[in-house]
Amino acid sequence: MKLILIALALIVSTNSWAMNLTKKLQVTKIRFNEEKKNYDVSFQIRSGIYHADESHLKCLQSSIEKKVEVSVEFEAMGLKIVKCTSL
Amino acid sequence: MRKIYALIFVISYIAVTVSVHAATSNFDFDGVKLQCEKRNDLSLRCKDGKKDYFVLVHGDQYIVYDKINPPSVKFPKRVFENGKIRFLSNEDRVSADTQEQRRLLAGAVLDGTYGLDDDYSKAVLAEARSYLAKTPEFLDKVKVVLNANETLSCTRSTTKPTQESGGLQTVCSHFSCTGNDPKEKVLFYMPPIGSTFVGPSVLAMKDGQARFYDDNFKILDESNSVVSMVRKGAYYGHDYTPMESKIPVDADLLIPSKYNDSKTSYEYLQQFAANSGNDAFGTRSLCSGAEVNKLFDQQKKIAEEMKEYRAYADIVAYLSSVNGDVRSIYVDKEKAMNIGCSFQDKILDYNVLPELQRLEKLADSKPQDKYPSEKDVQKIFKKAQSMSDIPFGYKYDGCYARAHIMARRFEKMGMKVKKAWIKGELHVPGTDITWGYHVAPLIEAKDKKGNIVQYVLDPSLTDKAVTLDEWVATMEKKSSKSVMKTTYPIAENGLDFQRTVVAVSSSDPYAPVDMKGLTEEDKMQNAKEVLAEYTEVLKSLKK
Repeated sequence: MKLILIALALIVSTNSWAMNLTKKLQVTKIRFNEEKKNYDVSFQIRSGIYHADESHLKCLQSSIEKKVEVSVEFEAMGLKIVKCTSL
Repeated sequence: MRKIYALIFVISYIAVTVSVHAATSNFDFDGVKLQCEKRNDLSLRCKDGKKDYFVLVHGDQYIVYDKINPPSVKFPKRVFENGKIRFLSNEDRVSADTQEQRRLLAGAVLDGTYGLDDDYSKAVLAEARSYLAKTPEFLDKVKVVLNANETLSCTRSTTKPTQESGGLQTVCSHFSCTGNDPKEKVLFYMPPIGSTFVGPSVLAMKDGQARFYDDNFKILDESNSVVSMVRKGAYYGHDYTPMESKIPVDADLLIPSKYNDSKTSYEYLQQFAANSGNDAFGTRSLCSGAEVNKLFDQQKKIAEEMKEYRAYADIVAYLSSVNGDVRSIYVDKEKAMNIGCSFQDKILDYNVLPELQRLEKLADSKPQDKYPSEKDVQKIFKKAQSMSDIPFGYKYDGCYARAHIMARRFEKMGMKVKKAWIKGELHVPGTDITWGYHVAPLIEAKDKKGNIVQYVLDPSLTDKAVTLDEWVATMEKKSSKSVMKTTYPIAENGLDFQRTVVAVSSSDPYAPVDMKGLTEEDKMQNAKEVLAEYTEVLKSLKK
């Protein structure tokens, strides 16, 4: 029973930490982070450095090349990009 | 009984005939009509009544082999099967005129005959294998023809015998070369045949300078047979190259004058050599040759010297108007002197002159009529701290929104407010948070001695108003050797010169780059939205 309660508490806490936001943003820079083996992504106006893996690169790159906004879903804590779609 | 046998024979004959006919089609390759039989998913056996042609179906394209050993092929642009279009293209395919391409074509035959064991397929396979056997995959000596006057003689480094690389590559891909100038040391990289990622490259080094070539040269074997033609755009390039929306500026302006003789190698050495360099496949560790290892060291030394020099190079902010916004970029000071007019500590492109008045307003460098005391500033800071609708605890992002809302509120309190900007690779101490830039409201106060002191009010970072220098010192500044103070707008490429850039502006700019089209209404709306969202994030954490 205790284990179940701990597991439930963990699930609840994980969910609260994993709050995601979705915004329309224009990419200004993508740089490979040698240390973390992922990509650091900068958006117009935004001061935070976001993080993306290779699977989102094509979408993010299209934003730079076409100078257009893309829809980006990211984890509010940590700024990890979890989804990128062209508009 | 005989009738039954005869019937079985007739049925079998019909079945075989029908099956053969079912697998045979009339093909038209650029007007050449051939009857083709599908062998497997990758190949056809075609006939024109005189001879057989092996045809490879490569992706959606067709390769017609006139000969297998050595491979002689055609890449038809129009292919029809039984009158139906199978392939149409306007693109010219590179002809198979190099040893590298012929090896690739022979290798493709092995794939195309996979699983086939009829006599024809066996004969085709044997021809391909015979060609591959007599043309070595890894040449130990090559000549690199850079131009009509310059040919390098290159020797492959020996390979460490114990290296394992998961079967991907087991041979060192680096060569040491000699050319016209015995003092110039040359490193040549030739990736395995078929690599489409990073192509061959030449780095010729002398006296701390380097020439770099990654296209428009050819590689010959010892008998002067062309192994490879290195053409522009033939390789995808390094995937780790930063991508950014750059200001259109002559790339030469970004290279310090000292490295004018290294223009061709500058970007390559800056971006790659200090890290992985032309070692995308980790092949450098396979090389045991002393000569090649000396060249690796020399390459690294030049790259590091360039990087070091860049951090202290004499640079100047060059301002130009791009689509109506004024953009700033650091360039070599010496070269920039002739491209615009000097204004304050910057060089202005002539297209910026109509924006000069607006720029002066944004920089807001005129003295104020009256200044608050340091005590007043601290009181205002306390008021800011108590603004419950500003989520100071959410540090990942949102400084632009916090700064703008605070600035406007301080102005309503009768204060003259500016903004302090810092741009670089910034880390919030004790966290994993990284910022591309940071901004906070700034108020100028008079100290007891009557000196004007710039105070930054940033409750997300400090627990009281601190001086501009103290505020700058709060953040860890990685990839940076020095802090440069300038005026708004901030040069976008400070990090390329390993500088963290600090600027003070009026309270109007919303981002470190000029965004003329953004109205005050847009800024307030964006700021309110951002703050509301991040307030929700903090609330969800508390839950």
